[in-house]
Amino acid sequence: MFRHHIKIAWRNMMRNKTFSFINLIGLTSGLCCFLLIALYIVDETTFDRFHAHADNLYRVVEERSSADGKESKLGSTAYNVSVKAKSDFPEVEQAVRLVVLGRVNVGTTENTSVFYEEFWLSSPDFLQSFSFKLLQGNPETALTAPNSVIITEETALKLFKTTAALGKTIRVNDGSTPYMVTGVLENFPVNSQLSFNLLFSESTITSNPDFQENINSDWDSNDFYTYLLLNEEADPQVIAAKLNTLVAANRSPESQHKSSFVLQPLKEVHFNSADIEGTLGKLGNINYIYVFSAIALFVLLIACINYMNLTTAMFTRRAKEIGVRKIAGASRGGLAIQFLAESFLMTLLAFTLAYVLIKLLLPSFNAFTQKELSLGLGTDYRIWLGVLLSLVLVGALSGLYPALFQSRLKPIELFKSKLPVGKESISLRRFLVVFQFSVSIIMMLATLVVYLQLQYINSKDMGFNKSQLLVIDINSGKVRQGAATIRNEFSRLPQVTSVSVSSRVPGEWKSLPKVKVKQPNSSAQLGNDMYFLAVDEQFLPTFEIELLQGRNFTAGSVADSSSVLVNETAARALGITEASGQLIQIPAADFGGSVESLEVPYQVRVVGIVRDFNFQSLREPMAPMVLGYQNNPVHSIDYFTVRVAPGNVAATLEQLEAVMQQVDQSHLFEYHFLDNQWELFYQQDRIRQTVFLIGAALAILIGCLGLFGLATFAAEQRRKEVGIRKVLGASVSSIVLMLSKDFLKLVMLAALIAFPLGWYAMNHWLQDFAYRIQLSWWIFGLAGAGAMLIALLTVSFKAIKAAVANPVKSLRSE
Amino acid sequence: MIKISNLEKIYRTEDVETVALNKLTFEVKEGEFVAVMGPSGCGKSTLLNILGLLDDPDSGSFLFDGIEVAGFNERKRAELRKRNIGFVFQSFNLIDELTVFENVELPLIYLGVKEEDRKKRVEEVLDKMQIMHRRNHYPQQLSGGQQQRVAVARAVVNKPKLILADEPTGNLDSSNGNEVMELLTDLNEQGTTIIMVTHSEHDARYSHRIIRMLDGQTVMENIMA
Repeated sequence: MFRHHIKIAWRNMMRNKTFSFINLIGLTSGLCCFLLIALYIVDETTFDRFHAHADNLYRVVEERSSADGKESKLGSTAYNVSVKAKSDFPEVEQAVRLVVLGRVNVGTTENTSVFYEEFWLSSPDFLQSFSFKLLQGNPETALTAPNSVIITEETALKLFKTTAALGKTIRVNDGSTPYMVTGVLENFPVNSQLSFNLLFSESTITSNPDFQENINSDWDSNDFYTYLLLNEEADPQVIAAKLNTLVAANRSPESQHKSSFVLQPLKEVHFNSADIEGTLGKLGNINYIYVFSAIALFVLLIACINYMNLTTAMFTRRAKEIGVRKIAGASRGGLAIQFLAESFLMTLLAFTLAYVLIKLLLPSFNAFTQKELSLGLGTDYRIWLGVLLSLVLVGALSGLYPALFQSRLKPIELFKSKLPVGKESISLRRFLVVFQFSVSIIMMLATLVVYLQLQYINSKDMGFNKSQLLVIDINSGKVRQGAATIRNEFSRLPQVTSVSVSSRVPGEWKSLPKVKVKQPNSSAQLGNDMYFLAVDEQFLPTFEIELLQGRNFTAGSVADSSSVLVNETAARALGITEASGQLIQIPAADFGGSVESLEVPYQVRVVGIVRDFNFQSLREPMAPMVLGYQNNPVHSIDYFTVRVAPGNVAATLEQLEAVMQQVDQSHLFEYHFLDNQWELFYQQDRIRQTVFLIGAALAILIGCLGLFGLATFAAEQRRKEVGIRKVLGASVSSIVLMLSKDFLKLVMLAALIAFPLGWYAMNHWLQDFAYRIQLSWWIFGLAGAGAMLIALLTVSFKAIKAAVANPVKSLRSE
Repeated sequence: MIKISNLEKIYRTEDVETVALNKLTFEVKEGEFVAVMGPSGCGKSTLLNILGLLDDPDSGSFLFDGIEVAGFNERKRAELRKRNIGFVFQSFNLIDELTVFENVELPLIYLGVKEEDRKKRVEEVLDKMQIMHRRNHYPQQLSGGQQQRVAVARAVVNKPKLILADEPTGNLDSSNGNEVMELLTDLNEQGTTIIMVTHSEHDARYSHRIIRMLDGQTVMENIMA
């Protein structure tokens, strides 16, 4: 009997090839989209869950208010906060400190210069609090002794070509100190907020007596990322209150700011740290998780409903078969089993296809999302549960409708071939079409707006020319000292048109320092916040920034170390219309977090005004900027920027590297093209654009399948009417119009619902950008017309088919 | 008015060929009332479909009012059909979603008649068929006889030259059937040509002439007294 069911199911699928094909595509793409997004979401929402103590681990966040009333949240605290918390509070089981001291050149005894790595150090209890697994070494002692380091498997392979690296030594910055490898870490999941390749013992630096003296009294700095492991009973709010009291009691009365502390659960760091300065690792955005979840669920839901719609519509064609089966003795139960077997066969087939498709898509999906997702037995059980549930639901619901409804009818009714259809099921289908198309139109709008905004950003005049600019990092003191020589050598290369040195470059990802700027006669204590960039006289020509007023720096001028240029915004803020050597004062600088007074206030004269140029992401509004000369007490130079002629890039790079090598043999050549760097600002937006595009395409595709099902259903229901009308003289076009009109009304209704929602959502997104496009009416018109056209094509396909059919056939069947 | 000669229609499936009309030849004059009879499958319905310009013959000639229509395309056939031919079916074929008035109005809409003229014309016909009081009812609310009267009203509303009736009394009891036959006779007396396919000898007696068919050919013609 089972074989018979499968056989009939297969034949039915083959007989209705178009239908079966559409059904399969709909369900397969729905499942596929759901699974991919689900994998992504599960990965994002399980950040740091692999730590056994994840529920009891907290990061200490300091909320600061400075003397001039500036409020900030910092992800790091002073040294003694963690030391005293552990010794004084019984609820604190472990207190882990992490400190990151810039980048170092890591090598081995044999090969001293291998690659640059961040220099992470941690207190000894790191491995007892976090569940990073040691393949070799003792977790209790690995981070105890000075000059010890634990490294990941991957790093071990990179340095020693083997993972058996315990006891081997590494060198840092070509120095003489050997660092002993005391542990090799198993590669840890990508969804870890703390992500490092090497971790040095904190005692490496605290064993230095000067440093030790410094930190002994440290209640004020923000140098240490601090994590507390609390016992089960501890209340984090109580601990935070105790920290407030502790720090207030110990901090020097001269301290310029007030602090209070919050314990942030480790599991919340990934999503809830946008407003916290100095968070390690990549942050997530929970809003996008909500949007993506909605897309995934929507696509799956609609695919399932469509599948049911189409299948039940298809069953109306089989009334006669069911009638004959009943006369031949089939029971209701038997028929129900047959229908269920058929629908399960289809869902199973769709799932198999979706699985294969995901296996094929995952590598590029991973590259795209920068994750390491996989689908297999090890995948989160909730994903499988979701898949199983949807398959059972789809299979059962689409099979149950005919099983319960059609098997109940009397054979004689079934022979009439026109099956009664409840009015409710039609209005439900209509509601679904409106729903589907509303979402599709919103997604189309989102895709369009993101696309237009990114286009706008790409083509916007930034005030400088970012193409063909090669930025080379200065990573050592030798190179910094030899900068003048290197610059001269660079400029002699045939492909190089100009060279500049600067402290930062526009679009640089590292933080840009701010300075306080005030006029000498001003009564304000500190003055206005302005960004600060140290540059040379070649900076303006190299970046093609326009000098509006006054003069540029002069090559080799000693006097210019007390000259500055300002941008238009800064000039306005300072009330300068013409640069004529106005005296201004820079009393303090802010390198992220805390304002530090300069030893001697920096007195400078404004010698020129440059046109405003966008030195930050276009999300940020234009800000005032002071361009100081390369020799200044605020910030030293850190980059070469070379404008190169197009073509022959590889050879040019080799020549540039050779020049650097002459000055510092161990200096690793690190460079990037500035336009690529700018792209990184909008990388997440591009990912979003792609997700919206795929989502919109799928929503439209699946929406059209639904519409197609509905149109088929309607055409089938109105077959006789169409026949009569044709006999009475109706033209093909009038019939097509009659059949399509109702659906177009639904799409129009969907557009009316989608427009305000889409406007609200995209307007909200655009608020993120200081420079943004206007949401003009034509964007909505385009999305609406697009949806309408696609719907019309879908429906008219069926309508034309119904309209050109010979009416004799539909009338004869009575 | 109608002259067909050597008309052929063959239905083909993958491996079976069925000859529905086999070199059929006859003529119907204007103002005639002709009944076509014969057993199931003799080709009556096929003939009616071709005469009603709903279907194409495979070969042969079909002159309608002196014009050769056998090679007409769908658009031309539709044009000719809606101006000249009215249909009455066994199963009435009324549209369930439209009222009596709207059903009858339909052919006029497709002819492009103005709304006020349509209203006048429909009311006139409904009055003549004595179903004016039912004008706002839906087909399901009417008896079989009333439904067929609506169907006849719809067939004559655009004043066609020819009415094709396919077993018009097949779904009716004898008194309702007789009423419908009286209606058709009246129409014929007013000048409308009628061709009716029927199984009923009783109905056939209302006609002027009976054409008897077998296997796609005419086998006999009876002229009624």
